[in-house]
Amino acid sequence: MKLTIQEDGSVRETEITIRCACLDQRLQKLVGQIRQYGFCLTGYQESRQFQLPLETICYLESIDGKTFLYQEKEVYACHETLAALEPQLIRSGFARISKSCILNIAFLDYVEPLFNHRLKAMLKNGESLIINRNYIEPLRRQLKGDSV
Amino acid sequence: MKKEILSRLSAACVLFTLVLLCSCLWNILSGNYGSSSWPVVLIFVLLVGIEAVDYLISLIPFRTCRQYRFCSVAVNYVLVFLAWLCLGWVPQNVWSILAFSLGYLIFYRLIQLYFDAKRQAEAADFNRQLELWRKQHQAPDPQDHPDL
Repeated sequence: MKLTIQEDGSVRETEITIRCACLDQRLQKLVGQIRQYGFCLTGYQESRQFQLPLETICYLESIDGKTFLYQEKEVYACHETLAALEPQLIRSGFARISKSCILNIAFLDYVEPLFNHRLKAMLKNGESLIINRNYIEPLRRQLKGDSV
Repeated sequence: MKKEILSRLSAACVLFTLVLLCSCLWNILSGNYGSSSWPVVLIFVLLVGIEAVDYLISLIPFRTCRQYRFCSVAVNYVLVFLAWLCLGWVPQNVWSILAFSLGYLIFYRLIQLYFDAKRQAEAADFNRQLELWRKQHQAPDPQDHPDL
């Protein structure tokens, strides 16, 4: 595959063009990753608004009906629900791990078995989350499907 | 091949159980109480009950593994003990109840050890899948590959 990068200070918006004979599965994955790169979520801290690139978000959690976005060190409130965000996120390397949590798989370091048919997800920043039994198999399928 | 054998074996077991169950129910409904139909139906009800209890327990958010294990062992003990009493397999004296309890605890521990080992293997498999996913999805560090 030929890769051409043109740096030009006058360019206002970065543009990626893919020229190919056929958009195969690997290229589709690449397109998905590029879309993730360009996709931001809006997070709030007090009255300030932030545009958070998707790849910086470790996980999203819903607590008492409110949605929160967790980066490695910062936490932001989000005005959208997990159910509304899930379809957008699921194609961008995120996975639902419980009723109240969506995890960015890129931040998942490893899992440990836990009592009560659950798994403990250890994140790269040292935090741990619970993967509920109903979400283990879909997550495994997501990993397998994506790794083919 | 192993997966194929296991799936076909489980299908045969399910079919065998259903045939046996239907036959026993037919015997009971047609008034043939002399056969061993009741114990078979009761054991089936017990197994379904154990599964249902296990599912209900899995919905409870236990804080520690000890709480979960204690709850599981106690509830299942009551269930199995009642079934054994109904089947008339436990003579109602102190020594037989003690022997039954000891046997139950030993079997319970063995089953627990088996499932612990199974969960460890599942977690290891999950981590392998995760490693594959990571290799496919994470870009190499440019510092390690200056030519990129």
